Amino acid sequence: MSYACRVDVLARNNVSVSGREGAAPILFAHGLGCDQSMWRHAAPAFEGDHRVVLFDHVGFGGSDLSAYDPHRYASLDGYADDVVELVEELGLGPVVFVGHSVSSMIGVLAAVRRPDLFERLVLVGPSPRYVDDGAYHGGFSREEIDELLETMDANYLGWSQAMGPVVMGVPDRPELGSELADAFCRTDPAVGRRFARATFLSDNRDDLPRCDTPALVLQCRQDAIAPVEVGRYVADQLPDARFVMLDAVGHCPNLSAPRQVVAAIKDFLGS
Amino acid sequence: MTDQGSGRPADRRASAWHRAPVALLRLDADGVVLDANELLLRWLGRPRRAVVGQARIGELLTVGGRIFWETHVGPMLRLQGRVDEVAVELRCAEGRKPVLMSVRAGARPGGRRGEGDVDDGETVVDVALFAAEQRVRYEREIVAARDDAERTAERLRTLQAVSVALAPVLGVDALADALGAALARSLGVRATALWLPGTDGRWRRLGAPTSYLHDADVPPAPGPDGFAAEPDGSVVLELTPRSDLRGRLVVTPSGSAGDLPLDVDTLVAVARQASVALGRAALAEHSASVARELQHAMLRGEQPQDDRFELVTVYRPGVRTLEVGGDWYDAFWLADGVVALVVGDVVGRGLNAAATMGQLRTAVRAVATADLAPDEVLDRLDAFVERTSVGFSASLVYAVVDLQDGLVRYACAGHPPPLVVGGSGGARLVWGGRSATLGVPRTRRSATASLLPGDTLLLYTDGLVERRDRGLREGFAALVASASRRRDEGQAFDDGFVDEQLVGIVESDDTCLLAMTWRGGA
Repeated sequence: MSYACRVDVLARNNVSVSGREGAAPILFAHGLGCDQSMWRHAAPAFEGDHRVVLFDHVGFGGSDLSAYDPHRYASLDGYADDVVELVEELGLGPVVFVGHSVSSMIGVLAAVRRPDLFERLVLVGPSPRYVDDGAYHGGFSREEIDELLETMDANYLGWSQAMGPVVMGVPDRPELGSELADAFCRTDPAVGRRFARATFLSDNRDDLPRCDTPALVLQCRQDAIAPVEVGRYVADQLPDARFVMLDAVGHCPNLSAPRQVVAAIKDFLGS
Repeated sequence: MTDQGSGRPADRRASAWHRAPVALLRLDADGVVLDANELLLRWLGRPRRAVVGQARIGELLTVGGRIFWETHVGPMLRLQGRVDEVAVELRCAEGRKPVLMSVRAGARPGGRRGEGDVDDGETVVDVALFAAEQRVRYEREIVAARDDAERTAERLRTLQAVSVALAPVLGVDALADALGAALARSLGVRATALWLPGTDGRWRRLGAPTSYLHDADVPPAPGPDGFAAEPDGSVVLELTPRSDLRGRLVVTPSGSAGDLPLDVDTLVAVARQASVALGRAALAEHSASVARELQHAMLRGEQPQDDRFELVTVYRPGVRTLEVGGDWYDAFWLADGVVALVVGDVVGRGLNAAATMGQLRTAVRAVATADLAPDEVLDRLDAFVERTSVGFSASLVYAVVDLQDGLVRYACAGHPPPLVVGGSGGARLVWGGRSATLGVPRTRRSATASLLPGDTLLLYTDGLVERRDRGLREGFAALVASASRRRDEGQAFDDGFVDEQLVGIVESDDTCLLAMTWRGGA
């Protein structure tokens, strides 16, 4: 692998590496609607005994928006390809992949593709399919998902005005710089909308049984996005998975209950 | 509630909170409603006891808003403590109510330090909701207008890409390939199939079979409007280049969840373009086949035969375009023991070039006599070109071979030089007798070359030496080396020789070769 290529991938995904040099690598992937800052309460806890890698999916946070290709990222496969490339370029050996929300499925896809690159998977609030389908209960009807996409459209204007210029790298509006320099969860609205489509309309149930990598499913006891029964379904379908229920509500325990999340992951990795 | 204007300042503030002209909510860190003001309860049409301490914010919103809260608002609130101007909809007694929401997270006044992970126990979330029916309607119009503009721009980009891709295409097969590639690039489609009725009445499919629609023997039928959507998201379009030629285009989307459904308006416009291109391609194929037949008919005439020489001719139509070029060869008796050999190349392609070639070929035969030196033959051809305006700028080599002594007299009008391959090895280009192409006023010149028994004289067109990846000088050097090697290996100068010269050329031009081996005068 050439150095130039390595730099490209690392810059594309705004990769930041911290923690103990030479230690086992752990990679944190953010979900829909945010960026790597979603892990700011959890990731530092691993810096003592891991090499900690954070990154932004293309179109989010500090990623390189010019790398965005609507066709590549029209399905989760494009993002999984990115993760595989990234792990390869890091050259740290097989990683522990911690994925939140949609990124947990992206991790599964990546591990199915290249099992040699993934030591273990931690899936926080995973769902292989959000739309109900016969006996399968994903939690949403197709109409409800359409409504979500409408909501995202409705927020297009406000969000693009506030977030767009920074993400797009427009340099002639310095007044936005100081206010938004510390802004979190920067998302290009058009990318976010498409990511939402790819997330909520995909069906990755068939990929679960193909993923042999040992996995941990972390589930909040109340989650409006990925209900408990979906989390259990994921753990049941994966050949080698452990299910842990967190005493937390909401879809983002990495922000609302980071200590529980950290403890559960450490317990899993120590086993 | 306390009366306005009376009581302690704290009571007055509480009263103002409850009577505020915006809907106000206070939540705990998990989103459970701790308090709600009058306007909010009125909008919801629910009693205070059903909301306060009971409902979560998500339940007050429509499902889109709920997901948006969980995935976007919640995380930002955790990370930066505030979110502004988010458009969501409240589930109200009278239906959905569009509101704009601003949210602040902060420490609960006098709150205790929680046992939880991130001190949630002391966090409260204040939410203000503004009715935004008018504004939302207005914004929706703007968004619709923007979407429309984006779709239009996207459509133009696609049409432009298709135009560019189809412009150089001459054949129907190439058309199907180019269209498929262009649509894959611009729209990310998985497959494009072009169906055409064959002469036997059966459908013929051009393009990759990647779905059941493409595997069938018969394409799905477009509706009365000229298009139809299939269950798998494919769109079928009618192509109507001519009243006697109809095709169908089947475009299958990628199937990726994030891809938007195919835009039928765009595809209808693409189909119109494809129709025009299909008509043109079909016509080009027809005219090409006519021209090719004409060319073959003209070249097929009887060739001189004699024990004293052996004559091999090769004509190879180009593959870059379907159209024939104007390359030709000819050999005829000038007198007993004297043979004329001609290889030429007229400007242009297609039927016109084939017709011009025919006229010029006949003109050479008409003006050439045993008495005229090659340069004089060229003079007369110049006069013919000037008089008839046929064959301007054509190139040709005219050679007269005396079968008694092997003397070759020749002249080249802007044409590649003859190649002489020694009977016992070695090859050389003969560079004499050169002048400009036909119709260009210039002094014509002849030259001579001598053949030994067993020597081969090669006349050819530039297709044999021209390649994009090398200069003409290298082309000639390669020809000499290759001819010399071929003689050493005892191989003939025939189709195989032409093949050898064209190896690696993907889009070869027309190529003509005439090879005469002189056996000696006996």
